[in-house]
Amino acid sequence: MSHVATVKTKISNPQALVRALLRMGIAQDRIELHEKAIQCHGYHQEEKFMANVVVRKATYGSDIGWEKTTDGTYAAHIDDYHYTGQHYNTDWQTQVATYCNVEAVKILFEERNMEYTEKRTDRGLIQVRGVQKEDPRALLRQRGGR
Amino acid sequence: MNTRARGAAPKERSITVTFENDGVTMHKKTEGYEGKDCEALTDFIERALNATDVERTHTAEYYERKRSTEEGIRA
Repeated sequence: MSHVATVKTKISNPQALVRALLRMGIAQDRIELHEKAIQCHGYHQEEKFMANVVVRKATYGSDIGWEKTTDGTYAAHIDDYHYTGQHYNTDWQTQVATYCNVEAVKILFEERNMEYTEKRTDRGLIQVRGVQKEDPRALLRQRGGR
Repeated sequence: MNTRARGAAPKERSITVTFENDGVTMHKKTEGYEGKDCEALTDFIERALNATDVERTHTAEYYERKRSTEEGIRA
């Protein structure tokens, strides 16, 4: 008997979550982003949950999804077979959270017209460096001005 | 006093964020931000990531004109 487990996360940027899922190798055409949460299904069709970010038919016909909560963070809804098994288990979710933070910071840099690079440190950690030039003329050019 | 020579390259301000693999911990290092606005200009990262536990470690440069800080962040 399976059921859908709900796991609270610190994820708060849905665009960053979508980019994180792409980094995890999920095809873009299987990822949906909805302003208003939509109904999804677990392994059994009677298992229903609401989600704003959805991976349709993730494995064995069940959806996985993230629903926006009242505090602005997203709760993950994942079938417990996947949650405890090898597909979308806690290690997978931790990797998604890490990528989500990486992509959220890159989005922040993009919003501020900062150039950024990403690399791996000697410890294998992801490092993102954003650079902001003081020259106002460069800022104007980046924003399409003269 | 402005000591920058005419035509000199503009000063570079940077923010470097290193992500631990636990999905919550990040380390932020800022360089080139001057004056009292350093934290105000760079704390958008903590605010956007809903950071709840920010540990600030100021480098020796913190008290110099060119300000540099290192921070550990838990989202």
